[in-house]
Amino acid sequence: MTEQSIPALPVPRRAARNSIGRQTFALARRYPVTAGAALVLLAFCVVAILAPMLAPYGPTEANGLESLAGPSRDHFFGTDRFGRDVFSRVLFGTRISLGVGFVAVIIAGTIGIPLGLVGGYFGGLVDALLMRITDTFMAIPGLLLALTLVLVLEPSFFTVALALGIAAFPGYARVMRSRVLALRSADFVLAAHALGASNMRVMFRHILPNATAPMIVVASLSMGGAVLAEAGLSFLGVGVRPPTATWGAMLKDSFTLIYTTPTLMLYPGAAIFVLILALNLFGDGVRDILDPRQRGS
Amino acid sequence: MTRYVVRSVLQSLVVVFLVSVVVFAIMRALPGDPVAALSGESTVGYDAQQVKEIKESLGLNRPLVIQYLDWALDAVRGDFGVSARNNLSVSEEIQSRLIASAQLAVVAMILGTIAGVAFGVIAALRPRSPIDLAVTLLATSGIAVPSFVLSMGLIWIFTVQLHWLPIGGFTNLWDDPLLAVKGLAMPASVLGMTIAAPIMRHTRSSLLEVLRYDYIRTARAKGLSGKAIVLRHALRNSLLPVVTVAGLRMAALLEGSVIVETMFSVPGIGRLAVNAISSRDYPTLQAIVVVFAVVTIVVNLLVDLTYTKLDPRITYT
Repeated sequence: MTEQSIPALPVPRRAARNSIGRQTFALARRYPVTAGAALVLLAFCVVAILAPMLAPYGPTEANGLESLAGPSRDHFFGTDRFGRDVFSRVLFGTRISLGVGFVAVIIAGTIGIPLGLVGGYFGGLVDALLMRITDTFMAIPGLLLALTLVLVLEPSFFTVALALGIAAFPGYARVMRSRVLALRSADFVLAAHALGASNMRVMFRHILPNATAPMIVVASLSMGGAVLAEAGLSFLGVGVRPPTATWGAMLKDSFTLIYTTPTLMLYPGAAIFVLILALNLFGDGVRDILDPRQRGS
Repeated sequence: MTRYVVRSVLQSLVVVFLVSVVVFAIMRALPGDPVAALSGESTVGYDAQQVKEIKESLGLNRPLVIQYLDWALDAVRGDFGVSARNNLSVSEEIQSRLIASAQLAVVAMILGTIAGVAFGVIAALRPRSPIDLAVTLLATSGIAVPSFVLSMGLIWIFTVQLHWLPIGGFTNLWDDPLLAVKGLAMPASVLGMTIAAPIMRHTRSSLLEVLRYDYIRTARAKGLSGKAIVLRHALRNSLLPVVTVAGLRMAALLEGSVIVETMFSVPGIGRLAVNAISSRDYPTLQAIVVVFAVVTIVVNLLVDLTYTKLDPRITYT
């Protein structure tokens, strides 16, 4: 056989290096709402981390002489009953809302993902047992479960996050399980079995990574739920203890002043609304990107 | 079919049992002071002998299993012990508040379902139009706004500014209908909205899917008007997933009642729960959690079982 010179295919050199950045950019252009939501979430994270640098006052710095002052150059959002700067308290409240939401999501995932993975993979009695446990925590209204747990364990940042995580784990177990059921007889899983991979290896190295995307969706949506529930707990006075600045507690305070200073409720209320809206839109958006058939559902 | 019903009922019973174990464990087995938990009083300031006596009088020195059985068997008979706050029977307290809660929940469920389905249909009729966008945006916002924030907004508009509606003042519907409607308007709207938003989203997507089916094209080819197609042909078939969503929102509705009843001073079970929390009345709280969980389980079971009635194509084995 004679050697033929095959013309080399033009290889785009920079493509490989830029692909992730370009893909992200292309996605952002196709899904502007999701990209916007992601940016808003990023902004909230920045505010939470840099709160002490961004806030003009301390979150619990009271000044009795300036109680219930209106918005001014010194106090962008005015001051509350104790003369504390509302703007600074809203900024610091971001830490509690995002922090509790984030830790709750981690806890819920740590409990729920293995439950769904093991149940869906082994099926049978194990599955039945694990799913009944999941049903149990699904049947108890999350807010009441969290209220009870927080009350027994004494309210603090971690007990609130733990309670909300426990209340949220069934969602993870359910979605993980359905994903495993869909993947259990997929070709690559059968191939892994044929190559002699252990059950543990198949579950955690082959199935789990393929369930990352739906887990991101669940995490994003359930974090919205956790942020909402945290605010609810604080609003009912069972959240992270005052004088710590939390949006729920700020709303609780402003509710008693609704006749005199109704503007006070606007700022923490808007902050909660925007954060949860961004989390939900982000979760919905990721789901749309992953599964275009479900668009708009 | 019978086998499926039996299996579902048995599964639900298992879940009820597990709920009772979890609730009992939270109150008794977790760290914390069980004497304080059951008597509502702190043991700080008592000496060891006194604490022991209190424990004995409450039966806390017996094995946990015996304590659980004791509590659970009473609970099955509808006896949840006495409140730590006022020594009244917990069951009677819950029963006396059931009427208010049930009225609020039923009105909220009706309002929420009607609004959700109506907006869902409006949006699905003109997909990707400005109307669809506006309705979808409304539903998305509805999910994101906490019920207490919405309540405060409504109270500011209708009570503080317009003086139309009272914040509290719950009246039974049959005692004074007008006053009752005024009292229920805001709490039922807020609670209704928490279920309206997800129902709207599901109605929209479900209807959009059904509208693509062949039989809809047949109906159209037959010359039926758009309204007839949607209302008589498409909507019926698209409401199946909506029923599930409405059923699954039962837990959310009960959960929402805790905050909404507190905001609007509705003398219901949700508000009782908050009172129990502020006075550390564990027996009452325990009973409410069990009751809410059982209601949720029963509603989910009923939704599951009515599936076959609503859609004859689904058969269970």
